[in-house]
Amino acid sequence: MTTVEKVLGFFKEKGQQVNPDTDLFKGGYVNSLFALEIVMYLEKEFGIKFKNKDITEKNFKTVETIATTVEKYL
Amino acid sequence: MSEEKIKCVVWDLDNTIWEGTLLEGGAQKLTPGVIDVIKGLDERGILQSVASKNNYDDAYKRLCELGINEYFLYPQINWNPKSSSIKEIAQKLNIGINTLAFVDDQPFEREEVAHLCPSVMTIDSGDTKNILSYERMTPRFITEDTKNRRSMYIAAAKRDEVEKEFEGTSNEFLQSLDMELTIAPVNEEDLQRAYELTIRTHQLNSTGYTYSYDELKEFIEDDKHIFLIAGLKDKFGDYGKIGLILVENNEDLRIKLLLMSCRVMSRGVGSAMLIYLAKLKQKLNKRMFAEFKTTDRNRMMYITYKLMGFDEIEDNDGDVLLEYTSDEEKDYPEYFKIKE
Repeated sequence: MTTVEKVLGFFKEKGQQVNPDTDLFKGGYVNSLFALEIVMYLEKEFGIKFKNKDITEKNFKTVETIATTVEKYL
Repeated sequence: MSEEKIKCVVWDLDNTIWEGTLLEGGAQKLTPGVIDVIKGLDERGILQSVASKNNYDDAYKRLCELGINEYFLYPQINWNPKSSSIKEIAQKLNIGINTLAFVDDQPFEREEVAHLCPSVMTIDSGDTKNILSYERMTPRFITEDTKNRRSMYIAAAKRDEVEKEFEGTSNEFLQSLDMELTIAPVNEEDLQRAYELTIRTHQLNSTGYTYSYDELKEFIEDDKHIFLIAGLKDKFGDYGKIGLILVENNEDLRIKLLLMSCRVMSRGVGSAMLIYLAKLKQKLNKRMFAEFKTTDRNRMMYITYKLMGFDEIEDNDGDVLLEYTSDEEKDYPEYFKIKE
């Protein structure tokens, strides 16, 4: 499974249909709950811990940018 | 640091709550004086539970017959070690294990708990009558929310049960709760609760700053501060006042304090409060900063700030300064009804 597919898995679990390039902020997908959950999910799923500087709106804007950010740690 | 106040007392049953051993035909009546302690703790907003080695159905039935079952949340009546029952209770209530106390007549059980959960306060049941005078059992204030704490937790337990059985996505579940979030200026009746929140909240707290009652009171009157309190209700009941915001309002806005109770961790209250502030910033047309003090427990607040559009501009050894730089238009989550 690619990183993008794994990240999409998070949204599938929540019952949200998104594409790799869906703007998560515009679509109203992002709230603090989402923010916390996705960070925790990714850290657990990939066994990583994000550095503070990587936790930004820009890096979490779409599934694609999230995957790119994750891949820096792999 | 002084020890935290006790938030939950976990009782043994045989020879502690009641006289004798249930399996041997005892448990006909309560230990003299114990009911006054149970009621006293309840009035102070200290939660109570049970860790007993017994058959669940029999022991729970006896608690009902004795008329005291309603005082105990998530009673752990099983044959597991009591240390694991205590961990389970802390987790279910979502409170730090160091805020639990455990009362048992048997030295073996107290030692088992003390060994595996060293931060739990253990009490010999022979000392039950003195419990109410312990310093750690004496809250600084009794507020409306303190007195309702048990019923709020009971509502929470019902909610959890429904959530577990809910068929649908987590968003649909949130939608189904009919949540109503109120964000309003702190008034004088809220002050004790506001104070209580500042000292009781550790995880979901951006700075951990504490202020005296009088300082908090001044923030209400002083127009250089914006001081807000959030309350949450849903169809299962009232969560009470669960969030606090303090902002210095000078040339810039500076968020000194943003905190919320752990009971609402999975409700998205943090984002709603930040969206409220983002809208306020826009209205006042000022720059908005937030102070953040890194601890080993509040990373979630950092993540909330960052993903809600704040950038880190300074970090002096964990003393972080953030600025709201987002140009994304944000709206409240649709599952909240917001009252301002």
